Amino acid sequence: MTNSFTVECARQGDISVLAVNGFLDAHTAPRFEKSIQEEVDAGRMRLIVDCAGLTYISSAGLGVFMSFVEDLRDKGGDIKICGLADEVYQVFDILGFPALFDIVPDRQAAIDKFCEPDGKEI
Amino acid sequence: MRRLVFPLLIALAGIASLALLFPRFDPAASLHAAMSRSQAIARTRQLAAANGLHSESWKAVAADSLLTPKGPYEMHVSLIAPRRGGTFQAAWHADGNLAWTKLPGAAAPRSAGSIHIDTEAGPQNRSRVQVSTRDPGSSRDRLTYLALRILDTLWRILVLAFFVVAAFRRRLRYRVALILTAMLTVWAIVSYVGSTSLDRGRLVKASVDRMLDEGNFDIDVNVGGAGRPNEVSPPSAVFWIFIVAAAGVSVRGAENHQKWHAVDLLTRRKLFNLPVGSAVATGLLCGIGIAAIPYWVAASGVFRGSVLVFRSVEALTAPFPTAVAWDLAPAVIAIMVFGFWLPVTARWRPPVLRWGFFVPVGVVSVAYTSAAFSTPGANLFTGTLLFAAFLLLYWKTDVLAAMTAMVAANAVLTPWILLSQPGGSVKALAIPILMTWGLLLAASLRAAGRGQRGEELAVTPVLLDSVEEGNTKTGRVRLEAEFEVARKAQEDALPPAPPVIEGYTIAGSCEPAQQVGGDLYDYFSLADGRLGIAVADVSGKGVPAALYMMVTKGLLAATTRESSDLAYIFQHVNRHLYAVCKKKVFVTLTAVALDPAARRLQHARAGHNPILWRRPGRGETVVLKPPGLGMGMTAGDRFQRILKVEELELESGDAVVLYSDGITEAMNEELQLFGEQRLIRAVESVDGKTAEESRTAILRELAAFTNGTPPRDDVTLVVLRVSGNGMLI
Repeated sequence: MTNSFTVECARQGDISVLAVNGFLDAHTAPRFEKSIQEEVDAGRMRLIVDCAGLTYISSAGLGVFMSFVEDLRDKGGDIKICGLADEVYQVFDILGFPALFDIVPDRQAAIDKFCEPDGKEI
Repeated sequence: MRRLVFPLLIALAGIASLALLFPRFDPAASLHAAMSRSQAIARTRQLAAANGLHSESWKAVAADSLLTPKGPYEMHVSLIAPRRGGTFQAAWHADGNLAWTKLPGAAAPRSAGSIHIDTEAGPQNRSRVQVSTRDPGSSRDRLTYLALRILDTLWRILVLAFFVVAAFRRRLRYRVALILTAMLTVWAIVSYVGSTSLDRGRLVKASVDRMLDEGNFDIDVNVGGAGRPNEVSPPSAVFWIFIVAAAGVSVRGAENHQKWHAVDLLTRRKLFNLPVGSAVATGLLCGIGIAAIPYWVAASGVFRGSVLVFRSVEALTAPFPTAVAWDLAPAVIAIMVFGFWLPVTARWRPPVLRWGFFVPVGVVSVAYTSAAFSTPGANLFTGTLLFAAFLLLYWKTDVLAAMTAMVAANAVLTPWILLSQPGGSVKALAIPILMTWGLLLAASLRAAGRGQRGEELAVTPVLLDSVEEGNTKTGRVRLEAEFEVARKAQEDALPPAPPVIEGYTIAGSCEPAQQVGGDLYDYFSLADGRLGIAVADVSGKGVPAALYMMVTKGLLAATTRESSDLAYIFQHVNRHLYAVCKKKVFVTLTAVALDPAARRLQHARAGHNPILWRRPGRGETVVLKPPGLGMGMTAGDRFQRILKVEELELESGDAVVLYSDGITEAMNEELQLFGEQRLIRAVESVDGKTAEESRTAILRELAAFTNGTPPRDDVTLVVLRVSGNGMLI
């Protein structure tokens, strides 16, 4: 079960939507990291991580968000997070993520956030 | 494979029961159907030719007609001439004899019209009564029927809309789930009541039954075309299963993963593995046993007035009886009951509320789909037994097994119906069904026999896997020795004993999940005389986490010497960690500073789990969660802006509990989380105990919950207890 983690990538204009499903922990975080790295390498700096299918996230999983967001923002991009289930949101909340990231209910709201002039900064 | 021995015994018991009871009780056994659908059409064409009609190019339609719920049976064949050239009809008895014919243009063999049941007529006045569900009946009947249909359709649309929204949002708000549940309940009740007592077809059947029992009439009732009330076509069944399962997934949260494991694998197109194979095989085998339950009810003689009704009668004439046998409608009910209602009601307290709702809904749902008897009482009783069997199966196995069993219980009766007929070609229809049975069972047994090749639930540490050197034996031994050194060093980094302060007891412990861990707790004597207690957790696992843990410990030791101000300590540790940490590494920290004499406690939190403040004197437990970001994530300014140091006053008997997420996120073998609520309850259960007793009891509670499941994360717990006989008030 802990191995069951998938990332599906879709494009919406110049925004990449990464839909994550299952358990994001120390075992599966490298896969998530690789997916984001691929987007960054391809020059796509505006990312939405759709966590609707995410059932569990550990600190290692949260670390992946941290490892990219600064660089992305430097390059004019960002990571927006959407679709968090309540119990997963609590984990983000304990760590203080809502102060660092735009966390919105769904993809459309995340896309809208990209259209707003200024996002959050580290 | 050993786990399939019991299901196999159930299946054998089911086969033995059916062999014994089917011929005695099932109406299909006395049907003696001699013709298949194509044979009936061929003979009707012969008959038409004998009547001078050239019907070779005419369209042919064959339909079952059940004269009462328990029979007898007729097969009606219509040959339809092109361009409205008329219809030649013939009805055949089950034994192959002709019942009646109707030439094109001729009047129907019996008068069509409204229901005519003359209850005054006696035996000397035998009358034939013709009833058809297509008859309009009285205007009141018609209105009732129409209202029911509209209501039923409306509910279906509403319920479907909700499920679709739920499925595609992948996350259903709990409140919406409750509304949906209420709607489904109303829908189920309306449908059940409608189909059992108000539906015209059933009304007619009931009155005809009554007259048959009185023995006064020679009755011929045509309810052909009535069909089963809740017929679900295979594509729509698959659609419903998907929708309901998705809605169930969205409410189940992080719980119940094990019950869904096999279904999860299936959705990822992993068909041949141990969990799926084992669930399907168990379901198929148990389904055979469960199918025998209605026959035992019939044999028990409890419901003398009710008889078994025809089921799957369409199998006799369906073009593909295999599709009729493997009807997926029961799977929709299974997923709705176990995949949706069970997780929705899981949070209901007290449990009696949950079971008081769930059990009746489950019983009615099962009774509704597998209605076997001619009276509602017998159906409810049988439904209760069937539901108990499916619930037990779900408990022992999972959702997929329960779904499979519901489908299988249906699928085992169809070949039995066909095989009990004398006609060779009708019997032969059972062969493809039995072949699919054999193939499915063989495939699932083979998959189950493939042992560990499916994805297993166990958590395996990957620490060594990532180190190439660990792949050789000598390398592994050396690495393990080095890890042992590292483990020892970490252990030494933890405080050897808690500080002794009058009026307080303190106890702490940290158990790494792997050889080395990322958790930390420490005590500090601050310059202003206060005592500092800190618990920290480094993100990630293994060696990197262990190294940062040591860094954090050093930073804490250094800054607590520089200042006694919690805000200053937090900010400085963050600044240093931000400088040294790799981008994806962060540290969460919570710390308190205790003024023992004044009983004043300051606390701050940097992205860490909240502190629990138990106040037995006031009977409350406070979750302390001041704002604060994790450390190493942002540079000073933002961290400083958000961090807030709070202060509280302790009273006698109070406990302050600092912990890491290794406790709240500990899982048991069913993959349920221990959670904050269980921790709070554990803390509340140790009122009056010393810190060390409290710590031990809380960890014992945790161990009882995980029940031997290997920990995924380090478990750190520090308890500070104000002694009860406090003299410093």
